[in-house]
Amino acid sequence: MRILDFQYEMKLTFSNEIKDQFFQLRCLPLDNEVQHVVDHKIKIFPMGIYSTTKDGFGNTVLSGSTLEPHKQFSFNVSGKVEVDSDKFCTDRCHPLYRYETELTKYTDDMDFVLIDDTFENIIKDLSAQVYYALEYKPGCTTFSTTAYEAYKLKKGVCQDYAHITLAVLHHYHIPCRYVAGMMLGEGATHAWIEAYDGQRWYAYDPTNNKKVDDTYIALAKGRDWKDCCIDKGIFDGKDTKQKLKVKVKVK
Amino acid sequence: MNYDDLLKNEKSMNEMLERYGVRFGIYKNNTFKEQLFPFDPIPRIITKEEFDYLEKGLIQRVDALNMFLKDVYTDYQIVKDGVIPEDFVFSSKGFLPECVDFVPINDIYAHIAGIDLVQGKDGKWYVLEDNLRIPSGASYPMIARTLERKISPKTFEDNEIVDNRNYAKMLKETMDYVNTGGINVILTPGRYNAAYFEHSYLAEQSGSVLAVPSELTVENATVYYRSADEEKIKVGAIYRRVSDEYLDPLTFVPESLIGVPSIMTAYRNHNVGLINGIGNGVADDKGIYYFVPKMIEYYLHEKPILNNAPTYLPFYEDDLNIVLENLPDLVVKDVSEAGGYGVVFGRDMDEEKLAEWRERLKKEPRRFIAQEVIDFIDLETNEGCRKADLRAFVLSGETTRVWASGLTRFSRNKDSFVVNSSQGGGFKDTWILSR
Repeated sequence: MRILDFQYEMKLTFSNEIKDQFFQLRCLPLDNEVQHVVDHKIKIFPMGIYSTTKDGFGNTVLSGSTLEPHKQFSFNVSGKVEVDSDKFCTDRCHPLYRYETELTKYTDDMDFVLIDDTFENIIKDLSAQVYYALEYKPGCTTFSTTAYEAYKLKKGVCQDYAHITLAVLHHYHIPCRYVAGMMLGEGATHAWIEAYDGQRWYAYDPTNNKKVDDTYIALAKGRDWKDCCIDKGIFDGKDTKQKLKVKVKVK
Repeated sequence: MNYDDLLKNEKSMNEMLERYGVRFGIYKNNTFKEQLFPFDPIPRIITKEEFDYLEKGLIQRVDALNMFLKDVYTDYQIVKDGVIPEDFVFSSKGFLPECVDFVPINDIYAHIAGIDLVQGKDGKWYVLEDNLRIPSGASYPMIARTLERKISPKTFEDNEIVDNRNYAKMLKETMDYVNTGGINVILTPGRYNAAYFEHSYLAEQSGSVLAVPSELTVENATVYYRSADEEKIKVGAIYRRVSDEYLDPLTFVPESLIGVPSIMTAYRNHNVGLINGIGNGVADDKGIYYFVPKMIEYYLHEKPILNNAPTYLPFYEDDLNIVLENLPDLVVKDVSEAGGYGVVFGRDMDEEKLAEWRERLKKEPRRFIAQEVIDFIDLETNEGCRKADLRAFVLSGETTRVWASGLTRFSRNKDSFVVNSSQGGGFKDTWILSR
């Protein structure tokens, strides 16, 4: 067990003044058997109003708006989370987790096998296969890159590692899901997977080829990246360019 | 029955309908065109006895469909119990993950259901389709009756016909029942929507505010209407005529210009009633149709009162074999299409086409259903005898009620069974006799 301090900061800079900005964020850590939010603070600039709701996957969604004209928008969530990765999530495995999505479609040329072993070792081994099959390289894939496209490239980032692993698990009829979150250190958000053995969810990180331990904080779960979108927004502003900066810090 | 007065005035009826703007728009080759909806003066007559029967059956059917929607979005017990295969629910395009574990105000999903029926030559009524998303068409019989009464008040004094001028009141009561404290709004995508006439007419008749998406805004998970003078008024219920996928750009299609950002948050927090609920498509696709009689038995422990058209699901091997063998006598429908599209008749296919379709059905069994062609009765029209259907409107509020009227659409083409207005059909008044 470990207590982590976390900070998620998103900064948007616009080329012109914009108004009527609406946002939807999934950047509040989940509260479940493995992790517990001890305390948290939310800061929005410029002052915006927001409210929370649950989405269909049980994630907390903050949605709100800043209607006044502005050129900069920032969102900052910080707090403490108690993590105990010796425990498992045992929440219901919705049938949706048995179906692949556009992003997690399996194709026959994906060259992976499941070993004949315990459930935990199967997932561990598959993660290793995906880890060795890809080269970690930011910038060559995008948010809409499918598992198949990333597999062909043999390159990608955490999202692609997770999507490919999920595609293979679906192919072998193992219910599984995508997890968006943060990891100890500084940098960007992270993604990994969970597989269901009929009773519990096993969390594994194919990008780092390791079991998810006390250095991980989960923010959202779903079938793929799309369900776990950490920040989404729209605004009123013609020909406006925007620059997004996300900073994540976990201590 | 005496309707001579109406026959004599057919021309002026259609002229008046035109003047009132009774038309619907269609997109053809990327251009927007408005079409008149031709009115035929000979009413369809339904006896009291027949209507009582239909009413019971329709209430039963819609109650079961509402229970089904609540079930599949919460515990999906009907799937766990093996009554409906998982595939037909969770891989349906209409099943929206965004609605999982959410139950709308008062457990109602389909507040306004449009159930399409036909009467066979055997006298039996068959349900052809359930429309639980945005069934349109109630405004046409409403305005037609109003004009008929204007032209010939006597017709409605001489004949014992149930007064159908209560639809707007029923609609208002349905909205009030899920209203969270605020005004009632009818949300239209705008002037260029196929059913814009209906949106404005229903708003006027039910005393609701007609709003375009940019006039609604969500703050603090609450929906407000921004009037022309920038005054903000709280909205309690929205009869939204914008489809699910365009309703909230932050939840569904992000490019939608006819949506209201964050409306889903207000809905999920029970701060606004949405009519109809979101995610109803899982209950009215053509694949689920097959299971509606089973649903009625499962949830209500009653025998279904209304008949489904005899339907085969190629998904089941036994059914597939029947379909492959009897294809020339069947009609095949694409599960994901609506409005009369994606419907092909085996009898119109030559050997080559039949072989092609057999292969297709074997390859994509989940995508199609096949039905026996019901030889439905012809209704007399001024253009001769034509195939016609009936869209019954079932409103669910404090109780489930059937509007004593409906939209009778007929095919204007002598040999066609397709009556959809988007395919050039006409309509006539539907008289429910009061004794």
